[in-house]
Amino acid sequence: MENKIRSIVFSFLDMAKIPYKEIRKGVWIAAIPEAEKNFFDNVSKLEFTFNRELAEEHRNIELVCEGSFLLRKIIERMSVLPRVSRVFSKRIPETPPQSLTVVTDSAYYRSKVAFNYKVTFNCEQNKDKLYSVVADTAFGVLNINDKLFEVDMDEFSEAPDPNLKIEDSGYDILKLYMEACQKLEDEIHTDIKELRCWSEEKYHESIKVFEDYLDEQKNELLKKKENVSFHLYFFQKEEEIDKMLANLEEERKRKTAELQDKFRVKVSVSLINAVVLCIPTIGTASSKAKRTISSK
Amino acid sequence: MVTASLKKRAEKAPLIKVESKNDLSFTFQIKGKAFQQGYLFLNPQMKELFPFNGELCSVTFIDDDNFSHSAIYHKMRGYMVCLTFNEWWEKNKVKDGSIVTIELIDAEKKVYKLKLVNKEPKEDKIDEEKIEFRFSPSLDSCISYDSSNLEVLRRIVKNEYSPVSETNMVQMGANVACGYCSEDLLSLKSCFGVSTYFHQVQTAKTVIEKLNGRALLADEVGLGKTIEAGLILKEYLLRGMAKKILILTPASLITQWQEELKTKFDLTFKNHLEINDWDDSELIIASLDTAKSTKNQEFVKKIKYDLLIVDEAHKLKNKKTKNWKFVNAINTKYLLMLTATPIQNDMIELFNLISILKPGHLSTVQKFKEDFLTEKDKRLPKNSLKLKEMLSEIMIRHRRADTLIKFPQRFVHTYSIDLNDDEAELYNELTDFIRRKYYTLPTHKNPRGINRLTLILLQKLMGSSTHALANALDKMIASNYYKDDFDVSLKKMLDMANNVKESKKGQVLMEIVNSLNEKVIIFTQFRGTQDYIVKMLESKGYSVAVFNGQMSQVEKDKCIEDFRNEKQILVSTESGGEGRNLQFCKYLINFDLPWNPMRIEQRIGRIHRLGQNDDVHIINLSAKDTIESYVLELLDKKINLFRLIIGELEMILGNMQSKRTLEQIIIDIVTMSPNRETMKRKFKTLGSKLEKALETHTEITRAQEEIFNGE
Repeated sequence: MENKIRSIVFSFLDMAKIPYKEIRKGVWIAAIPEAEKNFFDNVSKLEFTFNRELAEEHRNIELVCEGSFLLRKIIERMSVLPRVSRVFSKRIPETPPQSLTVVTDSAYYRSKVAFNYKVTFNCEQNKDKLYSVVADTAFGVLNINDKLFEVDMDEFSEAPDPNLKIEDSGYDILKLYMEACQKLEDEIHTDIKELRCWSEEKYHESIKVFEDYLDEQKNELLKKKENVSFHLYFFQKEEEIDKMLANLEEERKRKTAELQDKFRVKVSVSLINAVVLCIPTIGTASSKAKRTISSK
Repeated sequence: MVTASLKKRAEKAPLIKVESKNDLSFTFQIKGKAFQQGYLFLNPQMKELFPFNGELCSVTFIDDDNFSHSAIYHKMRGYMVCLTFNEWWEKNKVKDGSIVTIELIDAEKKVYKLKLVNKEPKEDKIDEEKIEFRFSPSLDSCISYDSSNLEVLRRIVKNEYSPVSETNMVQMGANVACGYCSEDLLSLKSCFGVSTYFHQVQTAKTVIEKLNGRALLADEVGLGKTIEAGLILKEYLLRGMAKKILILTPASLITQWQEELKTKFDLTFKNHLEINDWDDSELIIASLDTAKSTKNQEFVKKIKYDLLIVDEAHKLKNKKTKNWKFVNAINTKYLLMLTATPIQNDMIELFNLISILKPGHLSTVQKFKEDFLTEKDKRLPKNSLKLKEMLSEIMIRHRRADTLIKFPQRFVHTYSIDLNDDEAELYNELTDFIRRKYYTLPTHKNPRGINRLTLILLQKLMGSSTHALANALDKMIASNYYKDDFDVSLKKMLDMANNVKESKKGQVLMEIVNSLNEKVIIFTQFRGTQDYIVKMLESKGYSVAVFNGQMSQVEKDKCIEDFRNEKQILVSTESGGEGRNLQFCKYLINFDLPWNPMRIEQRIGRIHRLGQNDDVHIINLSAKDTIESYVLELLDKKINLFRLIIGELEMILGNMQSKRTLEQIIIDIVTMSPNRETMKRKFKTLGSKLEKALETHTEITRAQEEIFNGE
């Protein structure tokens, strides 16, 4: 994990063009430019380490670790930087993954798009799940995985083979994205259903306890009201009880809304990034096959 | 590329024919199958109804059956994509040539009504299963998509590619952040200077995972409830489950809370003086009194908090008080209430606390009384097993014995000092004066009498030091308020005080300090005595930090820092005893003894608490045969004050069933006893009452153990 965190921090500093250097073993210093000071709590020089012992000894050194606010801030900032990359497979051209194909003699790049999603299930507890949907734009094939798609740079390069043309699939990326979202929703449907069942059960449990409590209080007050005529200042007492009853109803509305909100299932889907994968291909799918989207 | 051919398609796509149009809607005739295939191509007239800035926008259509259809609008190319248009088409039997109206409902949220004008009547039998299958989950209203998702799409459309390293970095961040929801407490990994104990971690986990963030944290005093609350609140922040947090605490503890949250949890909370508005900051700490004031309470009640923490929650024990009503009215998802004494006098207090956390959990008051209260004693429960089971769903209480933490021992050393002759003479003169004058309190006819508080103050000052007494007498005489025999007596006592050559207590103090090569805290109640002690110590070359109530918060913080880092001795008045942790010191000298034992307990609590690794020494200086010595005997011998667990004293004193505080009782004994013998006898009677109170406490503790710990 520490290595991952190091990579994130250093990549972030590189991206934000913040110079840094290791001043002694395990301790780095970053010179924060004016424009970035606000992000770093107005410090101009940030000493940081990934080593807890070092940070314990020198409390002026910022510890960047799981659960540190600086790391969280960096991740949050990165998450709002939508990124899309395009990479080219180094493999030899392949035939399209369709039964009906027209084999041609010239190779070209066909595109696949990998959408990486983060799904946050929010209801009492937060739970994040990561998914990737890889869509073959040429053949409309969608595959979903319960982890992010990682580009293997041994297999791909950022520069295309100049001898290969990048072919347009003709497929609409917006529609493809929406299909990918639909695929994702199908995938998380069971999770949502289970979460909803759980939250409904919890909500009903809580609301029942609360309603019973209010009803009993109400009955007690009504009973008191029945006997109020024995009281010397019964009209005052009656008014007082009426006011308490009204308060109870107010409380009922307020608390019910609070509980509804608390147990409402909320799922948010964010597209972390996307990678366009260009695959060297020989041949095209028959037009009939190309129009039909089949999900695997 | 992927989107290059869209232009061709858009050109080929049949444009729909607009039938009518106004500012909020347009009606058009569907031509061709584009709509059925999930596309809506807009002609220039229709674009006015979608005046959005972004190149790609999310738009929602609500149909006649209240189903929502999510679409993405490609502004530049002038079309929309919506996968569920097809389902709508089939469900409503839409045909080529059908008339459809699109009407703006909410411009800000980009919501439109989709309506088929020449709709055919529905068939009686609807294949509900089929519709359900189609419209769920793709139209699940609980799912929302981040608006930034479209930016990713826009970049693909526009061929704006970033280096793989950047894309990977974003991905790696997401992977790390996803681990944030693991079972381990993230808050532990980034805390500093927190000696977290098993019971604290367990409490944090239980509150988050099992009690849904609403709990009464009722550990015995000194087990670190603040740390537990800090762990929970940081965990909620790190997991993204809470953003807006309010902490309500006694005013005297605000700085302490702020400091602990900053140094231990790296959290900056603003107090009410640092904000203009209650909505100014996400993390606010304030006193309960400030928050509930007429000026503030409506603002606070309007805000929707994610987490509310109430320290010293026993202040909410009474349902009829403003405190209870105010906290109950605060809108918060999670709620932590902290108190070591959930039951002080009455089981109903516990009921009231829990009614805020989870109303109805213990049923109604009437039923709670019937089910759990014995008629004999309001504090003793019946059906304790059932009650314990119910409480375990809402309350966490640890005892010291449960935690297996080795608490350092507390050693008490009392120096019984013989006053010098001149000191003793002054002491007796003053005590007689007070007894004499007590019966001539100011009345309407004689408003110039000396009031009771002043008399008591003089007695206490004398018990502290002749210097403090001399200062006070000097001021009284200079005020020209006191006349005749009052004035004469005051002058006589002032002369006597000024003539006291040496203070015996001062000498003993110096001997003790000389023998210790350690950090020491010296407590006194009075500034006059404080000045005297400081002067005496400094004259002997000791480094001394001075702490008193007249200092600003910043000065106080600096003083504690100085004491922590460089100074050997801290001389503090009573205000120094409130809420400040001084565990790095293990010697405490009570130069004088407050008559209010709670004050003594607060002093001890500053050094003898969690985090103290060494045994603690409490040194009491007491002049023989003085009121202070009787008070000391009372507290030490009868209720073992100096050996009690912090927090226990209040419970014992509560058992005396007196409307007066122990201090008031002592004052009455001192002022209303005509002679020393009577005073001694009265102190003895009081001692017996205290012994009885201690017995009752032991009984009740056993009962509480039964409720909370099932023993």
